[in-house]
Amino acid sequence: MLKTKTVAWRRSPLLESATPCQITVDGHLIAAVAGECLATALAAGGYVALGASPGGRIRGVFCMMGVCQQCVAEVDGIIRPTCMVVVREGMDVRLSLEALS
Amino acid sequence: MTEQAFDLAVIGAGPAGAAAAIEAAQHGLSVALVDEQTAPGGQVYRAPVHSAVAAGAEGIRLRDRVEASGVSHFRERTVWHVAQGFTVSCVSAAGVERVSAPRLVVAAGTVENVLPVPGGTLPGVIGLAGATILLKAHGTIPAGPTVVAGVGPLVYAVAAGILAAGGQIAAVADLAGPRDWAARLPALASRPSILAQGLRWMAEIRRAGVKLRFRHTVVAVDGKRSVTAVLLAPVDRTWRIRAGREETVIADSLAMGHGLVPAGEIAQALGVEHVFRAEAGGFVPRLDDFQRSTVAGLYLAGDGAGIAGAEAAGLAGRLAGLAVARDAGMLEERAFEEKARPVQRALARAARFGRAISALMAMRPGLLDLVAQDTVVCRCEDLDRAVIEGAAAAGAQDLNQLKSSTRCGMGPCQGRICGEFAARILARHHGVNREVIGLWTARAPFRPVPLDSLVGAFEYADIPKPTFDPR
Repeated sequence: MLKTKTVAWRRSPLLESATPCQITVDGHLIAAVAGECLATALAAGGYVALGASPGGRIRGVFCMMGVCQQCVAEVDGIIRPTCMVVVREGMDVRLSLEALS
Repeated sequence: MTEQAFDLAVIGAGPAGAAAAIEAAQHGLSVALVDEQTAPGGQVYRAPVHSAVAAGAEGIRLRDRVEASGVSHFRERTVWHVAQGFTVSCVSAAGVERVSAPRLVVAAGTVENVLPVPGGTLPGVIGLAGATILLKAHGTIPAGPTVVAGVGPLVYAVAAGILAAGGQIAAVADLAGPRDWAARLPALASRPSILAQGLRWMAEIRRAGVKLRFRHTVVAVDGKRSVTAVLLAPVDRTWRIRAGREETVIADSLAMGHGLVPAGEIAQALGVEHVFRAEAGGFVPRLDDFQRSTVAGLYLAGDGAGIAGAEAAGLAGRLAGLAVARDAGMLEERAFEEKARPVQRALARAARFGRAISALMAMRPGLLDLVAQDTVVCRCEDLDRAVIEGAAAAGAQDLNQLKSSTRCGMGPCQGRICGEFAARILARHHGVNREVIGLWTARAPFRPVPLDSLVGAFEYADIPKPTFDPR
């Protein structure tokens, strides 16, 4: 199943025509670009809420340089800041949204 | 785990670290350049993550020079520990590595302050520095209307960059006014090309018909699951809100930044003496005229040693590289002095420009009044201003006491995002200067690292057990 939601960020047209690939986000297949940043792929695929704070507030990409840790997700079984992850075909991403009501 | 020995280890491959590494290598030292990114450039000359995204000229030049220098570049390495003497421990997809060297240059750069406002934790709000990375490294822009706000040249760089990439800017809100910029003109005019660049950005923003608001701030962000509107208000000279003239701007992204703070945790953890210099962004390492710190063999350069901008960073890096070569016995005293002197002069000039920008961006007292009691300051632990004020009222005098009584700064970012605002709230509460509040105690791990990558793969039988030997 290909998931389509509102696009939050738009890639450069040059990236759009680069090697396409597919990644899985919480079990849904989304289209991405091999070699792009995972946070970018998620935002272009409509995923802006990536997790929740201890108090249940929605969390998303914030610093884009691996400092704030707000954009972390489980990538192929390891929790990593998505802004520091390079997309590869078949990547399995799990967001941590259970704390959200 | 692998361990490799070098004459010099450099942490950070931005303009400062790269220049230090290249200079030392040119004098015959073996150099390891350790960095978190896929390619040298730091945040200012950040390399595109994908070949389809065009790179800036300075970044290309810097990467070519590192490539040609013979420096061993350890890329995509997260430094999580540095031991005295020095051993740099890093973790990457390949596992755990150590780089050891008798000399170490730390060029760790900065972190950005972002004003805590109601709704400021919503997805769609990103830092100004983060927005430049989106543009430079990822060729990506917000899809919908965007508000760009805060203070400093990045406000204009980001707004003009998004426009040039075909994006839509709903409004630009600069805390500084035309008079603040004009007051810095003499220093800014010392770098005509950079000044011209800034004026070009401003002209492009005006030409696009974008709402440009001087002496304005973001006061709140509206939205349920992500940003839907941004509330702006005019401020006075102290950045205190002037009542009654608020403006709601419909937007689904907000990029804002409120100045930079040196990322000093590695030097602090290694025991380098720090001094407080407001014009350089706060606590900075005490250095001699050649970038040597108070710890033997440890040198610092770039914005991580005090905010002075990219050009000054490159020159300070060169100076550190020369000092390393001299101290390692690879450069005679006379030749060292001859080579260092022009670099020091150029550094003084470049730093003058950088400090003028830094002074323009220095936080003014009214900004703190914008942080309401129920506004989240510490994002990791969801702590609002009232919690910090409560701890202060209960006796928390410094950042460490605040941390142990509230968990503020104890989350995964380790206080890097909220630290400056938390410290200023404490300082305001107690009526003392910012420097009295101090810093969090810096300790490893400097970044969150997966435990299993530190421990490595092992079987139960691999765990050493003492043999039973009753004697």
